Amino acid sequence: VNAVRRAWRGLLGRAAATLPAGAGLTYEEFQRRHRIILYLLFAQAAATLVFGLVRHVYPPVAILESLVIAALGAVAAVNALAPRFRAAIATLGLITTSAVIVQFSGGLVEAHFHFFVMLAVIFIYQDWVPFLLAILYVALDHGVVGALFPSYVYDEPVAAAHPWGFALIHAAFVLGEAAALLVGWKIIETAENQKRAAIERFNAELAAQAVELARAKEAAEGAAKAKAAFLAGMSHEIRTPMNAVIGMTSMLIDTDLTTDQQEFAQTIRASGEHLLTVINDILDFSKIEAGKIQLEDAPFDLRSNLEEAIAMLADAAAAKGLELTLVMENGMPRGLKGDGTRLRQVLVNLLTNAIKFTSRGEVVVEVSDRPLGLDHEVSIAVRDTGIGIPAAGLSRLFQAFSQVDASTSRQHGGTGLGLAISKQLCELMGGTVTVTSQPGTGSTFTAIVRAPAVDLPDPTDGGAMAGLSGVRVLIVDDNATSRRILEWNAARWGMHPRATGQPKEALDWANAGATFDVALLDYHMPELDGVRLARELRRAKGWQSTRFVLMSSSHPRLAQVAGGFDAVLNKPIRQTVLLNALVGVLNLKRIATDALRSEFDPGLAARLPLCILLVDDNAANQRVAFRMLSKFGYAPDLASSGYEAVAAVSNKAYDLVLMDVEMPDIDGIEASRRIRAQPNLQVQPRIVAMTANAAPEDRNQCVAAGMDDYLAKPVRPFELEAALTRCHPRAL
Amino acid sequence: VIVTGSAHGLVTQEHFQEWWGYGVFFLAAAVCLIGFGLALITEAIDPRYMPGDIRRVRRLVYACGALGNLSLVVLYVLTRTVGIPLGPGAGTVETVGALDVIAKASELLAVLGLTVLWVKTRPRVSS
Repeated sequence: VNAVRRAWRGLLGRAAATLPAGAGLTYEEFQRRHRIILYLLFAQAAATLVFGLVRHVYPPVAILESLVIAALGAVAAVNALAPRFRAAIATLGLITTSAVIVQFSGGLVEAHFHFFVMLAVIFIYQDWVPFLLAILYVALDHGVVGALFPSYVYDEPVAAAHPWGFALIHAAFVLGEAAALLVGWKIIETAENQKRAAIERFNAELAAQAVELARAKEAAEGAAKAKAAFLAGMSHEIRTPMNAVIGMTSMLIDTDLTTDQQEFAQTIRASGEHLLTVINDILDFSKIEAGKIQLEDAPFDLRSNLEEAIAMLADAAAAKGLELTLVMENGMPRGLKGDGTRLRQVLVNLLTNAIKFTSRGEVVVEVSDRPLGLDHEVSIAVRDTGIGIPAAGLSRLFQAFSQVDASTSRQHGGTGLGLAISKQLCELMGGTVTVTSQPGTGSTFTAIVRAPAVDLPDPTDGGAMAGLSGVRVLIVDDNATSRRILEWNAARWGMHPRATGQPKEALDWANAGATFDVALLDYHMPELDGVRLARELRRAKGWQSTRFVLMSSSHPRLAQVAGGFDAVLNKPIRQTVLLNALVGVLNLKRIATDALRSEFDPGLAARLPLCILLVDDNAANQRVAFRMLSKFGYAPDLASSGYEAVAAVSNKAYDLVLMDVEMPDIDGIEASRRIRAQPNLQVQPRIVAMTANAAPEDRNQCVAAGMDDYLAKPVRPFELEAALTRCHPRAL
Repeated sequence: VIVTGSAHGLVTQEHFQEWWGYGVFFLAAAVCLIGFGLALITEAIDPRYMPGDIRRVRRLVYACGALGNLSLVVLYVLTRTVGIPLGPGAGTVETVGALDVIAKASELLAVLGLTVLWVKTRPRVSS
């Protein structure tokens, strides 16, 4: 019995497998096909009425039956009902139409063809329910009723005599068509199933790939986080000892050393600062790559910013005997809104490269702008007269860790990151970096950024008001760019400039009787240097009251030659420095020059008395900061931990707390929070973070903890001085 | 429901010949019953397509179906005992036929089934 049952089930299974499964249309596809059938149904409702009237059917009956068909169509059109029900109702409408047409035709055989056409139409649903409904309709009408009550169905007397025979003939026709349609349906469905299976396989593969990708992404993000943490940690670990190295070296240089010792100490400091630059480059690059760099959006003084960048590289340019000049287009906005620090970083990178690859001639920074709606497109072109770059090397210039050729790296050093970082920073600022170059002639790197202009006061606007108006000035400089800038500035301040690139021409003017109130003389000139030219000019008639200002980029010698001059200025000369110098010498007041000025101002503490607490757990760094403060004339109290700092602030009123951040017990952040939370303090001290954590988020964390300012280690003397100057003591 | 609807459909033409009102009644009954049967078979009220409280709509459909079928049975009993209520054959008591019995048995079965469905889909009250 079981064997027979299994065989029967197998047979049924195979038979079922040969039939189409049905109901495989997507909803969108069903809607598309159903819409066609609805159009057909409504058209037939109208056609039925016309046909009934043509066939002289009692009009109310013709109208009623066409209305029934239209009503079925209306129900089938309701989208809120299930598709299969709507298909069944539409089928009912189509088959009813067939029945009505047969009825109105008086049972004509030709009218029966309508049913066969409708059966084929119903097949486009590819669903068993409407299909079986259509078959059932006919089976009930012609099979059951026709066989049991032949008078309801057949008018023919022969049919009434042989009802079963006629029922079988009708069934054979209907089943024959149904079988043909089923075969077609199965073929279509098989093809569609194969297509769907292929799509599903493809989708499954895609899903598997997506999972793999998500895993890989997660792993990559984890690795990136680990890398960022590692870099931050490394940065801190390297900066901490570098602070001691650079700080101590700065102080060492400021002591009495022999020439050799000075040179050794300068080399140590330069190497330390170079190492720091490399670390900063790598950190910046990794941050830009990870998309984690955030640009500031604050107003900054464009000219000061550029002059600061140039000043940073002045020594390097002077050491190679290069003229380093800044030319700004007339009418440029003084202030811009954006990230001034990053813009300065870009310029320093470009200048470093220009100086590195230029052995003689000049490096000129030319700045221009173009208004673009509310923004300004500022172009900063750094033009050098260096070795230039062959065309083949230009494409590799902005790739990270890439230099024009391997020998470049060996000869000039560098990580190959500077240009890549500069380009990406400029792109973040809405611009880019471009380059043009001619081997043997030089290169021009142009950094372009977009930023809105802001109104900032120009500190050199008061030149004319300061009494310079009408002052006659002689400018002697063999470098045309420098000469042009000096001339332009002098004219801007209302002076009467007369400039030449040849010292002998200036002597000729003097000998011819020309006199000047002030003479700006370049030191390095081919025929006659500035010192000798001054000596010659002083001998001329009417030159005894003339004030002499020497301009040079070679600092060490200046101390030896400065005696005969009213002022000595380092090149490149900042606009404000030049203005101050001119005002100073014309008032017969000697001013301190950049070249002769120490890095430490010992009178700072006298002018700005501050009660300072210095907090650092690292003995070497504590010593560095203590010595720097001592050089400025301060005698700070010391604390070696966060606990000690909090206790010290409770016991004594400090104006300033210089707070290390990374400390073993409670760190600087927590210590600052506790100090800010002390209710019994009459006046809260100013807290300045001193940390080797150089990221902007560290700065934000410090500010959030209640700190007022931030110094990144290694702390340079001028940065510390600036931080001290920003401090307003309680006593003042 | 489809069986009784089909039975009504089969005798529609015959009743039109008696009076148009009888014909319309049988045609409407046939269309409504077959449509209602198809709605039950094909689960016409599906939450994937119909927004709102589906359970409530379904219960309403079951209740209407049960009452409709019950009305047809009651009307049939009246026509076979008291007489036809209106039309040219008003007051005439009809005879019972084989197709009538099949149709009324189907309707009673439908009333029973729909009542069960109505009861089973009533909202549960949480304790």
